[in-house]
Amino acid sequence: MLIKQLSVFIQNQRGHLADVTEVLARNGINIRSITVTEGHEFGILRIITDDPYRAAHLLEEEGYLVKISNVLAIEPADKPGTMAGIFRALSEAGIDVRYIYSIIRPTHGKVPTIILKTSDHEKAAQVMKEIGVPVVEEEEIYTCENDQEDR
Amino acid sequence: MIWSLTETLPREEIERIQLKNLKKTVKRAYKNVPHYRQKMKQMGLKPEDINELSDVRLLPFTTKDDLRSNYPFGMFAVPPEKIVRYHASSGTTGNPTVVGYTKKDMENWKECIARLVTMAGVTKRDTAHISFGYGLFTGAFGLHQGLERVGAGVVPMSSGNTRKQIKIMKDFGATVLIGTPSYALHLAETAEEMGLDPAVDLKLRVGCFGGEGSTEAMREKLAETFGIFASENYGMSELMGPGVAGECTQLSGMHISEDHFLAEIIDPVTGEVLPAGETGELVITPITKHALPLLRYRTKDITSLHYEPCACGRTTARMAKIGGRTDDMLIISGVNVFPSQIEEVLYGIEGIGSNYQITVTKQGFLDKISIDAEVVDHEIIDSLSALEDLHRQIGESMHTVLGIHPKINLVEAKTLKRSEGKAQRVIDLR
Ligand SMILES: [Zn+2]
Repeated sequence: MLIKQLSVFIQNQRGHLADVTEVLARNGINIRSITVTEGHEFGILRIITDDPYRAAHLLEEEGYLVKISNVLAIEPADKPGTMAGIFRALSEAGIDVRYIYSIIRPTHGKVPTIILKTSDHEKAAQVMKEIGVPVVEEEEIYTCENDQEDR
Repeated sequence: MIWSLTETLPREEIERIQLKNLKKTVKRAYKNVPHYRQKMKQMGLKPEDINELSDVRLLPFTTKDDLRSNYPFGMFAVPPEKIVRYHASSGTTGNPTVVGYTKKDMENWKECIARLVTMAGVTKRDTAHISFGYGLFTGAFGLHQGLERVGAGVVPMSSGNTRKQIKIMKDFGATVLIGTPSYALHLAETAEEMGLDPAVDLKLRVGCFGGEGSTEAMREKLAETFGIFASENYGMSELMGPGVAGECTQLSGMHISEDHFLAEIIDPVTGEVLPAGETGELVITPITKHALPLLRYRTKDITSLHYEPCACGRTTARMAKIGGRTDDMLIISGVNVFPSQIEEVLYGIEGIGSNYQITVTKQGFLDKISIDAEVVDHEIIDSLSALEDLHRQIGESMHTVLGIHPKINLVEAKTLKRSEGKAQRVIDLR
């Protein structure tokens, strides 16, 4: 159920994003989502790929420091109040949200997918179920219909 | 086990012996070595002026250049018929520095080596494989003679032919490995290439490493790979060879054979003696040498001295691991900074790797120092605040130790060059 996301430590220097992503490109790994958290001189690159363990291994071989961490993917309905409802429910359940970003899966309906890093994913998934927000399965994020057509 | 009672004497007794030996050495140097007689006369100093241990500070320093310019035997205090052994240090340029030993010097050398191998746990039941090169270099012969004195079975393998070394070590059942730490690591790698597990297939239990400095990380690697107690020892041919100091099983520094060597720590710039515990240049006066009695030899090695009794039972002073050479010292806007201090700070911070790079630049009239440190902790890299805390922590620790504020850069591990020695760790662009 939980998505394996890669966090990569990078310096804020020109060319470093290209270097990291080229490692994945050379090995035919597709990036499903990418986001960078920016600090003064360094940042954290967070990526979801179609093959998290292989991607992590390849990056480590190149000398990058990589952490695989679990995140939760949900698909809230596209209407006012959905997000507010989600956060209220999580807060009442005593769950903290560390960071959030959204990804677009072009071949997948019209709703955006929200990626959440929470203090307790198991409990958060339970809360989502209770308030009727679909939780996206791991495999659905890694693969998409385009890939299946290609193969 | 402790080899000699002398290693456990009360401090006052050690100092009494040191003073007695120092006085004799100064007399010998003054009487028999023109270089010293001339220097001391210029300073208005006579051997009789040395009345207490701290009077050693009155004596002139000796440098490697003094030995070179008196090549080959100009600093010797005895005629050739008294010399029973010669050694020399490898001079990459110009003359090597030549050292000689009388019969008595040889006995003292064996005694000092016997102490340090015993400190590391070697006994007469051991088989010691020597992988130092036999020749003019003092390492192999020095350890060889001392191990024989202890009664261990010595295998004088010498250096090179690494695969054969492994075979001999395995077939002879060597329990002690003697050599440089870097060659020992190479031996381990070769053993692994040969399909052996050095910790299982070899019987080694103790390593006595020297001839070059090693880091704590290297020691841990050696201990783990071979499954041994890895100890380091210190010396240099000018002072005797190996045998000046060695690590006991407490790993709390290297015990100095103080009845043979009087150690001081000085500020390498001013030459002032620093208080116990402070870091500076190690200056050694060998106080029992007959062939080559040097006064206050400047080792150019950076360390500190500690005089508290050790848990092993010895009362002799301990010197910290060599943290670099005075040649490496940086002067940043008037403040002395040793790369080793920076290394020590980084080593003590969790989440930071052992590789680093120091860059010094000049901006206007000001010296700027920046330190690139590698982040190696997987656990924190998903949190920007944890990374920023780490960044701040390094900055604060550096300020506490160095007294200046270097710029700290957290870098990706792969951007720093791998283990290419200390020299490349400092880039001085001034
Ligand atoms: Zn001790």
